[in-house]
Amino acid sequence: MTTRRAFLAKASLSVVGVGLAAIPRRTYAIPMTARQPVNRLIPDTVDPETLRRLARQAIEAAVAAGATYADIRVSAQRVFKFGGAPQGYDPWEGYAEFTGGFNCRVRVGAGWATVYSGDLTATTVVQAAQRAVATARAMSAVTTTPVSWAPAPVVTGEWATPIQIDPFTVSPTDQAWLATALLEAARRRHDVDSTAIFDWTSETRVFASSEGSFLTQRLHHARPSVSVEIISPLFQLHPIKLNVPSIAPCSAGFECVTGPDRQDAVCQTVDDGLHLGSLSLGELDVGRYEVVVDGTSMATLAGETLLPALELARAIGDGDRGRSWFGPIESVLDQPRWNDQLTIVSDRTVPQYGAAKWDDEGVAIDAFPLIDRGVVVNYLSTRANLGVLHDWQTKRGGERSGADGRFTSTHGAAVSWSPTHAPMGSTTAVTMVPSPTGLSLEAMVKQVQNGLVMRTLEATWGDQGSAGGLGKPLALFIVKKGQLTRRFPHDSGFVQFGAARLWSKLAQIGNASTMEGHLCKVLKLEPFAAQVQAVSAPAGHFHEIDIYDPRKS
Amino acid sequence: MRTRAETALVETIAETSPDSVYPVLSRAAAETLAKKVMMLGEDRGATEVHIEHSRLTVTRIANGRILTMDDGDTLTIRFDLGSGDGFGVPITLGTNQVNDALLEHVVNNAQATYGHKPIRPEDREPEEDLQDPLRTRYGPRTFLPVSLWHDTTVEAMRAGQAALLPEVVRQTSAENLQCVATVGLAARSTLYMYKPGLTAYGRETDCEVTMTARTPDYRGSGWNGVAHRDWSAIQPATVARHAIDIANRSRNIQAVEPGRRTAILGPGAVAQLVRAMAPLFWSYTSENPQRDGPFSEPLESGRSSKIGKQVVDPRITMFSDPQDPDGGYLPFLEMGNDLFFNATPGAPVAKVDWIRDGVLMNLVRDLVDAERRKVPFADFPWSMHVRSSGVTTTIDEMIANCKDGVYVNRFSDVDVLAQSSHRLTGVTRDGCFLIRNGKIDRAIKNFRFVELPLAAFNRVEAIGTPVRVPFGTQNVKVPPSLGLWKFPQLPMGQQTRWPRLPVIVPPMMIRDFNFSALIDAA
Repeated sequence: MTTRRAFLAKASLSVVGVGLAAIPRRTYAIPMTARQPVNRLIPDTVDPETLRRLARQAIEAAVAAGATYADIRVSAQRVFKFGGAPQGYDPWEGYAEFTGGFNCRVRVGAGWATVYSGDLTATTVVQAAQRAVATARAMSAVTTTPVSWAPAPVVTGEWATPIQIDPFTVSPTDQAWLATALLEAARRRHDVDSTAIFDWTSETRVFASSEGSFLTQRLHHARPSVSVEIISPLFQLHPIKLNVPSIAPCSAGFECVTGPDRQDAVCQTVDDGLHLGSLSLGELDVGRYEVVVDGTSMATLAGETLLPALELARAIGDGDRGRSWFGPIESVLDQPRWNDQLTIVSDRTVPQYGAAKWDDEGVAIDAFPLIDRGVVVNYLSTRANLGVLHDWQTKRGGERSGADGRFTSTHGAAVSWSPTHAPMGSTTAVTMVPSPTGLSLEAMVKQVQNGLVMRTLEATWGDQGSAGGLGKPLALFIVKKGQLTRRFPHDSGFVQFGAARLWSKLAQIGNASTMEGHLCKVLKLEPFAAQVQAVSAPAGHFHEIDIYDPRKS
Repeated sequence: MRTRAETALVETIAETSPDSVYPVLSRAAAETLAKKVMMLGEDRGATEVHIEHSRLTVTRIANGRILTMDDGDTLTIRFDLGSGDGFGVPITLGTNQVNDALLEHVVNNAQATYGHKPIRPEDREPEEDLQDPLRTRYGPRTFLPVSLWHDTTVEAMRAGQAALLPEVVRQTSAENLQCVATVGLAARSTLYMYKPGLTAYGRETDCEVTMTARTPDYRGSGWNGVAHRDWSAIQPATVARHAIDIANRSRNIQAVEPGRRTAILGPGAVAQLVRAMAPLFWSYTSENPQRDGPFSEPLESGRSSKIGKQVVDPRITMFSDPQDPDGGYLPFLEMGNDLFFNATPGAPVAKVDWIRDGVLMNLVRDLVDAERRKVPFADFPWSMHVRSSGVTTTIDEMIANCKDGVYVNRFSDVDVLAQSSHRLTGVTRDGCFLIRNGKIDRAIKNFRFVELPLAAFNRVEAIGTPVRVPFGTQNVKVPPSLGLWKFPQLPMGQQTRWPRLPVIVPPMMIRDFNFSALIDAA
């Protein structure tokens, strides 16, 4: 791990470099006065041994009370969010949080119950475990349908996200200087504004089960983002806004935002935006178009229409998570559907966002395909519903019956979105695999005789089954004979898509140079917690996408 | 708006009640905790503490079995520290840990971590001079009396719900349908305390039962739900029967052409529209007209305000009332919107008439703006009551009077497409039927709609009797300006709490409603 002193030497040089080479338009007051690191404010006061002791006590109490099965997640977490678009004397805004909590889940017969709290004391966890057992026992008297429970190896061990610089050892002042350097890289050009956000999470999470699993993980997650916006008077009503693609969510430390290549990436994005903004404005007719979309837009479409639909609980109608157009599973699994370039992988391995070694049911995490060469081959499941997939495979019989081992494990897809939430079949990161023979974005555009290019589709309006929706790209351009000719005013063009039809019109996927990311936020948990998923995708080329103007309907 | 003479300081709870009765922090316990935090930062000018404690019990039932029962509590403490020059240094810290050593450490180090460069007097905007009058608002205040706490709900949480649900469980396994039910009970206490003396404490209970039933082919579905602060007013079995009935009617779904049709919207649909209309009432004006709303008011002379003008059908009245007997809410501003209002969580709020007999009466305003214009301050109407000031019509009567239309049981995923016009989009779900010649003709495929709510509310043919509508665990739609990235929403914040704040609406018959496209989602 790089020492803080070494980081500062490196980062300071970067800041000085920008200051000497550029002529800033404005002088920013950096009012951050604290040289102390963030961890002076929010210390790591709950040591892992305390969490482990609480976990053991809860499991022992649950088993003593008569639980057939019990598990618990105990966590202490720190968050530091920092960001803004400072102008003049406005300071950066920050928020710091330290939370702890546990979620104890027990089964008695066919009854399940979960008790959670933020109170990390022995009394509370023991009472919670006992209360959960009593509730589960009462539930089992009412419901007799047994719940399958997929077996999993008993595991013990520890793991930590490999990082170089712990962001909590960096002072807010130093973070402000680095963020300012990134913003200055954009603002060295005229009439370009930018926004930077740093969002760090450091967590110790302990998992224990009555089966004997006992795990301690030290997790670091980062959600940095920098966006640039062309704001000259010409663009004020029709701004061009782009995200810097290489500054993206990941499981890493402060190193993910340092280094001179970050400023180069910001400059490159600015250049890209200025080029796009130089095109003259035109009127857009609604209709059906051949469209090339950038990686961000592709990630958004995948996140809106594919990712939620791949949650098994939705597909089998279990619970209040919503619907899935990938149901019933009998009509979906292993059925060829789309272009064989389409492969989507759930990947919670380092450095993907939300990486861990084991999931929140103690199952080892590995990257596994959900869609493989145009075929749905798996779902995001938990040990409670994995049996549905296994039963499907067994009933099919023949050469595939039990042969490929896909459904002998959930592959670590059980996610607790906060320490007080029970695990659910989901993921923190998916990747749409780029095509090794695919083209760059520019090369794809050159293939289009008469169509559109869509950049930065971020806002979408979906439906209850993730089966389609509307989307508004931040930038839409017309292509004639492989050349960008005009751009369209903001708000003039929405994309309207039905998920099944959309993906059936996928012509090709871009290569690795076109990879970009998008953060999907699903806000559907009770109690409220943000479910944040990172989707990475290459650019894509669709034969047809419908362009729609709601003002004309 | 109530006068000062009509309000009185009323204790919302009896301070002699034993703490063991409450599943959440009593007033005494919350104040003790807040004073402790305040005292820890006393020599650094600790000015305010916010505490929220909530407990949720949620039971999820599916297909003849209880999936799980989740039970737990969430505590959030936030505090801001002031600087020596009188400005509140905007340090925001959040925690759910009640640990003396930890709290003291955090408070002692907070100011060292984040400093604020004071704005030079010559650089101040004129509005900032209004900050001084606002300081008086941190002193003791009076609040409207409200009745939001029901011991029956607390007792149901304690007793567990198993004894109350066997019939629901049996119903979910009936009639060859896939059924999912969610039963939730909540209790919550909130305290805002400020050094100059303002202390606002409130407690409330709430509960909700919703059920969705789907046909085996996943194409048809039905939904029903009920929400009430008093558990004894809820009949879960009735909810189940209605949902199953709609699902059974939804078999053999057929597609019909999208387009503008007469829509009979059940309360479950109208509630989604009305909740999405909350940001519509924002008076804020920016330099970018694309970010203004239909009711944005000019900073200087120019575009006139629409206050006092007829904006919707004269039969429509919309108001928010903390003392609403059908719902109600805490009689003070709650955290969530205060970031953009220069407002004080804990400041008293009163009833607000948004639209009376179709005339626009009030708008959501920044506290500084309200002071300058000498008009009432009003927060976003996340709780709303809509009623007819004329004759009401039942849904059956609406259907009987409809020659060609669509009955919509519920909307979903309703959100703003364009801020400047407040154009909304969403989808129908869980019961969509074609009406022909005064009768339900057949179940039809779901639609996406795109509509201007103000325009739709000017095409009203009939209005029914309002009821409170539950929202289930649908996606929370937080206005982008509230910046979710910056500050995580509290678990029971105004936009994110569950059950959602009361929305009490009638069924409505609206002509030429824009069903813009068919959708595949069932």
